Amino acid sequence: MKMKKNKRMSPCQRNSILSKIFCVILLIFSVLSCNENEFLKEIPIDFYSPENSFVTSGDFEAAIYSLHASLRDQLWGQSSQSRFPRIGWYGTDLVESRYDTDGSHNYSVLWGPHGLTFDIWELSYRLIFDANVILERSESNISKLTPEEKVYFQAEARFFRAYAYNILANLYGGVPIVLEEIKSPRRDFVRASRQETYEQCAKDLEFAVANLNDIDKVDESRINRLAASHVLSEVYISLGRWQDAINEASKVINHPNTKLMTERFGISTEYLFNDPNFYEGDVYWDLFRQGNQDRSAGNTESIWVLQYKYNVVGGGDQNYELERFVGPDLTKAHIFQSGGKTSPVLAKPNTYYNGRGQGFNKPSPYFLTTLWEKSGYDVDIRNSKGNIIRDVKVNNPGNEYDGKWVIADNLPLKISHNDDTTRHFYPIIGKVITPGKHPGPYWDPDQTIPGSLLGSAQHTWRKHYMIRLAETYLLRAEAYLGNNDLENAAKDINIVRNRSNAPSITPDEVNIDYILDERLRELYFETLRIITLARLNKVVDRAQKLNPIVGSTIQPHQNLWAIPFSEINKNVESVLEQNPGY
Amino acid sequence: MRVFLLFFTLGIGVCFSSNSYSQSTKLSLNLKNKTVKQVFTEIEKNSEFIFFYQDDIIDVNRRVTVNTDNGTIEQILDQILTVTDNTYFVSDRSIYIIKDTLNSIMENEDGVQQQKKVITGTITGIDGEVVIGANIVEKGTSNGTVTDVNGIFSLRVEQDATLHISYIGYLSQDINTIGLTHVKVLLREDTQALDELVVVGYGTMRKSDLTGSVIRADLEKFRDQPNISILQSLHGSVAGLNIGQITQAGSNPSFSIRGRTSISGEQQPLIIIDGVIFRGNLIDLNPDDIDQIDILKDNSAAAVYGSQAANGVIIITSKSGEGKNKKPLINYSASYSLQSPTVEFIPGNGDDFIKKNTQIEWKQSRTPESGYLEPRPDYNVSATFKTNEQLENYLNGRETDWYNLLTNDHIYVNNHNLSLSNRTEYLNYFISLGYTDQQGYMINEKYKRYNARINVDNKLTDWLTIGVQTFGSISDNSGMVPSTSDRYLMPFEAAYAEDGSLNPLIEGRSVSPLVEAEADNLDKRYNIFGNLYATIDFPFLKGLSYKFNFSNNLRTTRNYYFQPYSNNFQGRGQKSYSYLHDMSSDNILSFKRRFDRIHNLDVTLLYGFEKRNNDYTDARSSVFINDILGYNSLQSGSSDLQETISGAWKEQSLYSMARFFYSLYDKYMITATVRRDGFSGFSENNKFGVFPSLALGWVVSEETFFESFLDVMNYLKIRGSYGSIGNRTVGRYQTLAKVDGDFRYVNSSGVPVYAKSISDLASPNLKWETTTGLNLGVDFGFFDSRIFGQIEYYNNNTKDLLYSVDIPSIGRFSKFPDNLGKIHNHGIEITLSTINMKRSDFNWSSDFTFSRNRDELKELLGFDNNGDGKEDDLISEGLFIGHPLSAIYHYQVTGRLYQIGDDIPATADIGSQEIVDQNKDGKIDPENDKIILGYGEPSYRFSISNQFTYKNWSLSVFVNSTQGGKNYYYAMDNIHYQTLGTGFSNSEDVYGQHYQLNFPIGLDYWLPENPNARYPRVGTAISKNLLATSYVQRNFVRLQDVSLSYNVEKKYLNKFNLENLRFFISGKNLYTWTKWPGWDPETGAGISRNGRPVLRSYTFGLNLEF
Repeated sequence: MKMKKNKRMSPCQRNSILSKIFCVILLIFSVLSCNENEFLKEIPIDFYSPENSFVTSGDFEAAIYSLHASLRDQLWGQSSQSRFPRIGWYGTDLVESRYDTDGSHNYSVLWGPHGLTFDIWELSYRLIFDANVILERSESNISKLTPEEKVYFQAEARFFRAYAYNILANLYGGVPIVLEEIKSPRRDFVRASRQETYEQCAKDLEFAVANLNDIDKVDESRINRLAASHVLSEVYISLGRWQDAINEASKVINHPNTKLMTERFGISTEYLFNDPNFYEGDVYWDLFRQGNQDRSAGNTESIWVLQYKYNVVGGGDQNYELERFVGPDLTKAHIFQSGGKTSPVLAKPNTYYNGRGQGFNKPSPYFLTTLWEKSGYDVDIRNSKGNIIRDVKVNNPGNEYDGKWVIADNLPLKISHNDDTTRHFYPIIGKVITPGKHPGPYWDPDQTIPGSLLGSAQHTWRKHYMIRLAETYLLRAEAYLGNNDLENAAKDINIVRNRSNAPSITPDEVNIDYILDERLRELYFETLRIITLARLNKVVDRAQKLNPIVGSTIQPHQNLWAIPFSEINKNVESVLEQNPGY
Repeated sequence: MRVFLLFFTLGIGVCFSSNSYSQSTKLSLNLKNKTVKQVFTEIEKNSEFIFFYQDDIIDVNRRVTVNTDNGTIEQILDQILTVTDNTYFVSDRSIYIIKDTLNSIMENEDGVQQQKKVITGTITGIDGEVVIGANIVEKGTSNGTVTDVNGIFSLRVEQDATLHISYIGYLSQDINTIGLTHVKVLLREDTQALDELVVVGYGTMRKSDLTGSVIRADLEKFRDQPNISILQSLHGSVAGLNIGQITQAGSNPSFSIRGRTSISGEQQPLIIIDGVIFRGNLIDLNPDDIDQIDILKDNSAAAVYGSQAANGVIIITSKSGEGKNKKPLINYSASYSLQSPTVEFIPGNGDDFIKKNTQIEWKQSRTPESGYLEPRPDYNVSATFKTNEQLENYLNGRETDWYNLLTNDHIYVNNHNLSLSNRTEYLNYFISLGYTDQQGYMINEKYKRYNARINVDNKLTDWLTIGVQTFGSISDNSGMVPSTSDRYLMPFEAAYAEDGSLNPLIEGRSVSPLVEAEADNLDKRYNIFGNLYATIDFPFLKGLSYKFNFSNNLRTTRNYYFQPYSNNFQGRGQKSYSYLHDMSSDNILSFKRRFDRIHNLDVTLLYGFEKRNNDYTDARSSVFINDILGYNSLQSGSSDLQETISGAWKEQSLYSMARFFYSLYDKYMITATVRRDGFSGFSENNKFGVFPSLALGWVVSEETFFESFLDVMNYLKIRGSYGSIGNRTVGRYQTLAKVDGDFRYVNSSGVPVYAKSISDLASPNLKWETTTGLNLGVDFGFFDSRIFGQIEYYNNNTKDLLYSVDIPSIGRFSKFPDNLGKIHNHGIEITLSTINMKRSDFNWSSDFTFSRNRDELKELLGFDNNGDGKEDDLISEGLFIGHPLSAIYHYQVTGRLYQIGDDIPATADIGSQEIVDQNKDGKIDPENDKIILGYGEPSYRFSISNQFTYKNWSLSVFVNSTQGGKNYYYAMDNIHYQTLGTGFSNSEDVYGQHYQLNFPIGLDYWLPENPNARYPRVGTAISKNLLATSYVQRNFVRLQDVSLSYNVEKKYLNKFNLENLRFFISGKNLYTWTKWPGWDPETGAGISRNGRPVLRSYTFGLNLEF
C-alpha cells in the first residue's frame, strides 16, 4: 500500500472514519444480535419439568404410584441398620435390641432431638409434598383431567396426605400443616396442635372415603375406599369420636367381600426345615406365604398391600429385608464340640432356616413368653411351632451335633459374649421368612447341604400388609372401649382371637392394655409398634413395665418423639416448638 | 502530520520489510534543472520509494540536475543533496530526508573543545528496523542524547568515550569509540523481551504494556521431558500456577492458579486454545504442538473472560509455520523414557506374612508371663487363614507374588513427532503428526495417543487473512487395570491352579484381579478441534481490524467392556457412547495504533456466543448364553436384563466484552475492561453478569528523575489492578425444577408401573460467585537486566459462594442452593531471572520462583446457634470460619501409644494412640476434644532452575519444592485408615482384612517389643469416631527435571543437508528430599494399599530438522 507524503486528513475526513467505525460495529452487532433471552432460555432435554409432567391422566397416575413407591421403599425398605422399619420396633415392648451398631441403647437419646427419628419425619413430609403437588396441579389450567379423574386422583392424594399427617401426629404430636405445594424454600414453619393435625387428617380421609372406589374395583396396587375407612376410623379414635370410628371400621368389617381367613388357603403353603414331620402349618402361617396376600389368592382379609415382585424393574425386591432385620444370625451361633472348639449351628445361610438373618431386632422376653402365657401359649396358632420357631436343628455336617435340636437336645450353645446370644440365637419369626422361596440366584451353587444360600439372601419374598382386616376389628374394639361398650369390644377381640384358636375373653377383661397385648399377638413384626404406642400415649408405660432394657433409660416425656433438632435449627424464620421434656 | 505518517509506517508497516529493496533497485534518471520536489516525484513514479521530510528542513524548490544510468538510490540522493545540510536515510522503500546534524555541529565548533569529537551513529534492531528514541549516554557522565526518527544520533564526546546505549526491550550495549566517529549499533532484543507479544485473550499485548498479572511459561526448558500432558511442563515453573503430580498413565495432573476461591464451584482455571475456550481434556493435546502458554492470574487480566475467570486463565497457543530461507522445515523428534517408581512399598513373602499374622495375634501367639514377648509353643497361625485353600498353599509352601504379577517391570513412554512447516509472505502453515505410547505402573495401565494438527494462515490480500487451526486426537485408555490394593493380596491366595490355568476366585474379593484384567475393554476418546478465522484489516483506517472466529470441538468417547466373570461367570457387557459438541463464534473488532510514540491505543470489542450439547447412550446386558461375541452382541444377554440408558443436555452462552488500553510515552498506562456474560444455566432472574476491572501501570525508570539510578536498576515498573471476575458455579439445569420419573412400583400382577415426582425445586435467584480484588505488581531489572524479575501481591475476596443451605425438610427438600458466604485470599509471588555468566561460548542463567497463598473462610451461613457471638463452624463439612478451607480437624495425639499394663480408657486399646483430652474432662469425645491441627494446603512453593550452555552443549537443572511452614501441608500419617489394617470394628472378626492382607515389609507398628512404634497396633479395635491418627507435613524438595542436550555442529550437518540435529538425555523426578513416610509427598498418599508411586524417568531422544 502506498502512502503519499502530502496526504493530509481533513477534520471532516476524520469524522467519516469515526462514523465508518461506528457503522461497522453497528453492522456486526446488529447482524449477530439475536433475542438474547430467547437464546439463553434453558430447555431441559432429558428430564421432565413440573410444567410438562402433570397434564394427562397418565401423569397423575404416575404421581400416585410415586406415593406408593416412596412409602414402600422408605418405610419398609431402608437398608441402613438403624432406620425404618427397625426404629418402629426398637424400644417398644416388642423388641429388645441389646445389639445395635451404634452401641447405644439409651432411648432418651435415640428418640431425642438428635436421634434416629428424623427419617419418618422426612418421609412423611415427602408424601405430603408429593400429595400437595398432585392436589394443586390437578386444579391447574394445563391439566387435562376429566372432572371425575380429577376428583379421583385428589382422593388418592388426600389419603396419602392424611396417612402421613396421622403418623406425624401419632409420633410427634401436632406438626406444621402444609396444604399447598411449596415452590420456594421456606424456613418459617409453625406447629399446629395435635388435635388440629388429626382434624386435618379426618377432613382428607372423609374426602377419600367419599370418592375412592370400592376394594373390588381397584387394583391392589392402589388405594381403595376401605383402606381409607380403616385409617379414618383410627383418626376418629384419636379425636375421641368413638361412634364415628365404629361406623368407619364397620364399613370395612361389614363389607360383603371382606372376612377373616379361618381356613387354610393359598397358592403356597410350604413347610419349614424341609422336614414334613416338624409342622404342618396353619391359617395364620398361610397368611404370610408368598402370593397369599393377594385377594385373587382368596385372601379376603387383605385390605391394603404393598407390592413386591422379584427381578422386575420397580419390584422393590432388594429392599424388603425383614428376614435380615428380624431373624437371628444362625451361622454365627456356635456350639461347643467335645474337643473344646466350637462349630456353628448352620454351615451356611439356609432357605429353610431364616435365610441370612442378622439379628438386629431380637424379640423381647415379654413378647416371647409372658404375652403368650397370659393367653393361650399352647393353643394360639400365632404362637405355633411354625409361627414362632423356638428351636432349630443343627444343619452343619462339620458339627458333631448335626441333625440334633439345639434346645430340645440341650446342646452346649456358646455364650461368649452378650452380643452373641442376642444376635445369633433366638426364636425365628415365621411371618418374616419365606422358606424355599428365595429366588434362584440367591442359592449357593453348592447344594451339598440342601437349601444353602449365598450371603446376599436376606430379603423376605412376599408382599407386605399395610392394612389387614384383623387390625380393623381391633381398632373397632378400641372405639367400643372408648364408648364403654365392653360387650362389643370383647366380641371384636374374640373374633380375632378365635380365628387363631385362642380362648375367648370376657368383656370385663377388656382394657386398653389388653387391646395393646392383642395387637402385639396379632400384628407383631407387621405394623410399626411405636406408632400405635405413641398414638395411645403408652410408650413409656409399656416400656417401663415390660421392657427392662428400654425401661431403665426411658423418661416420662417420651410418649412423643422429639421434633428433630435439625428441623428446629433450620427453621430460622420462625420458632418450631420442641416437645416438652426434650 | 508527516511525522505521524512516518511513525505510523514504521510502527505498522515493517512486518514484511527488508532492506534489500534499496540495494536491488536501480534507477536511470536524466533530469535537468528540475526542482528537488520534481525529482522526488519522478523517483516515486519509477520506483516504490516514498519520500518523507519536513517542509522546513529542506528547500524542495531548489533546482538540481540528476544524471544516472542504473544507479542506486544512494547515488542519486548523494547527487541531489551534496551541497545541502541535508542527509538521508533509507529504510526499505521509505526515504527520509533529514538535517545533517553532524555537519551543523562541526560548523559551530570552537577551538576550546578541540579534544572532543562528534560521534554519529545509527541504531537498528536485528530486523533492520531503526530504533527511535534509544538512549545514548557517554559513560561516566550525564552527557547523552536519543536517536531521532531515523534511528540516528550524534553526540559530542571525549575522544576515548564509551557509549552506553539502552532501549526498552533491548539489551543495553557499551561501545568503545576510540578512533571512531561513526558507529552502527545493532541492538539485540532483551531475553526478557519486554516487546515480546503475550496473548491476553482476544488479542495480544506487548509485555511492556501489561498492567495486569500475565506470565508466559517457559516451555523450552521442559521440552526434553516425557511430559504427556502439557500441564506437566508447567509443573513448578510458574509462580502462582500450581500443578500436581500424576501417578497414572494418560492422566492430567490437578492444576489451579493462586488460591481457592470457591467451595462447591469450579476449581480449575479456564483453558483457552488458540483463542477459543477449550472444554475437553488437556491430555488430548500434543505438547509438541504447543508454542506458547500465557497465564492470566489477576482479576484485570482475566476479566476478559468474565464469569468463568475466577480461577485464572491458561492460554495455549499452538505452533504456526516456520521456515528457513523460504524452504519448508521438517522436524522430527523422538524420545524413549524408561520409568520406575520413586517410592515402593513391596510386600514380603510367605514367611513375612506368617510373621505378621503371628505378630497381630501377639496376645494368642505369645505367653502372658513373658509380657507377650516369648512365643507360645502351641500357637497355630493357621487359624488366621480363612479358607482351606489358603491353609493348603501355606502347608505346601505355594506362594504367589501378587505385587509382581500386578505391577509392570517395564514402564516406559515412547514418543514420536513429525512436523512440516513453512512461513512465506502470504502463507504460513504447520502440519504435525504425533504418537505417544505409554505403559504405566500397573499391568494393563496403558495409554496411547495419536495426534494430528494442521494450522494454516493465508494472507489472501493486503486486508484479508483467512486461516484454520485444527487438531485431531485419539486417546486410547483401553484395558482393565487391576485395583492397586490387589498388590497386597496374601501370598497364599494362589493366582494359578496347578495346571497353570488362572484361578478364577479369590477369597474376600470374589474374582481374581488377573481374571478381571483379562476382561475385554475398549476405552477411546476422539477429539476434533477446528477454529476457522478471518481477519480484515480495514484499509480506510490503519489499526482497525476485525477478526471472526468460528470454532468447533467434537469429542466422542467409546467405552465398552465385557466381563465374562460377572454374574457368576455368566457375563456382563456394556457399550457407552457419548458425544460432545462445543461450538463458538467470536467477533472481535479492534483498533490498535500508536501515535507519535506518545500515545498508544488498543481498543478491543467482542461479541460472541457459545453453544454446547451432549448426548450419550449406554446399553447394558448380562447373563450371556454364549459370550464369545462379547460386547458386540449385547442382545445375546438375557432378555430381561438388557437395559438402555440415555441422556442429553445443551447449554448456551452469550458474551460481549470491551477492553480499552491506553499508554502515554510508554510510561503511563491504563487498561479498563468490562465483560457481560449471559449463560443459559444462570437462573431466570440473573441471566447476565457484568464484570468490570481497571488497571494502571507506571514505568518509573522512564522518568527523568530515575536516570541516576539506571546504572544499577535499569528498569522499574509498578502496576496495580482492581476488578471483579466470576465463577459460573451454577451448572446447567441447576436452577430448574425437575421431575424424576422411573418404573418404581409394580401393580398387583407384577407389571412395572411408572412413577414420578418433583425431585428438585427451581432456584430462580441462583447466580455466579464473584471474586473482587487487588493485584499489585513490580517489574524490575538490575544491571542491564542481568537480574530481571517481578513481584506480585494479590488480595481477593470472593462473595456469593454457592452453598447448599439447610432448610427444614417440612418443605420436602432439606437443602437449597444459595449464594452466600465469603472467602478471602491473598498471596505473594516472586519470579526472578538472572544471567549469571555470559561468555562467547558459555552462558549460565537461572530462574527462581516463589509463591505463597493464604485463604480464609470469612463467612458462610451466618448462623450463630451456640450464641458465642461468632458465626458457627460447619464441623460436619470440615468448614471453619476464620480458617483456611483445608483445615484438618481431628484429635491431637500425644505421640505415645498405650502400653500393656497402662490404665487404658474404655475408648482406647493397647497399642492405640493416646489422645489429648483438650477440655480435660477425663473422657474423649468428638465434640470437645477435636481441634484444628493444621492445614492441608502448602504454605509456600518455590523452584530454582539453572541453564548452562557451553558451545553446543546445554544443560538444564530444575529443582522444585513445596513447603508447609509451621502449620501447613499436613497429611494423615498412618497405616490404618482405609489402608492396611481394618482398625475399627466393634465385632472381633478374626477374619478381618489385616489377616488377609500382605503388608509392606518393615512397617513400624506397635508390638510388645516395639512400644515406641511410629504406628499403632494393627487391628486395634476402636470405634470409628475415636480413631486418632497423627498428621505430619509432607514438605519436599525435588530434583525434578534435568536435561542435557547437544547440538551437532553445522559443518557436519551440511553434508547431510540438515538444518539442525540435537541429541538429548533427561531425567525426571530424580531425587526427592522429604521426611514424608508414605508414597510420594506431592500426592499425599500415606502408606496405604491404594497409593500409587510417582515415576522417575530417564529419557533419550533426538531432534532433527531438515
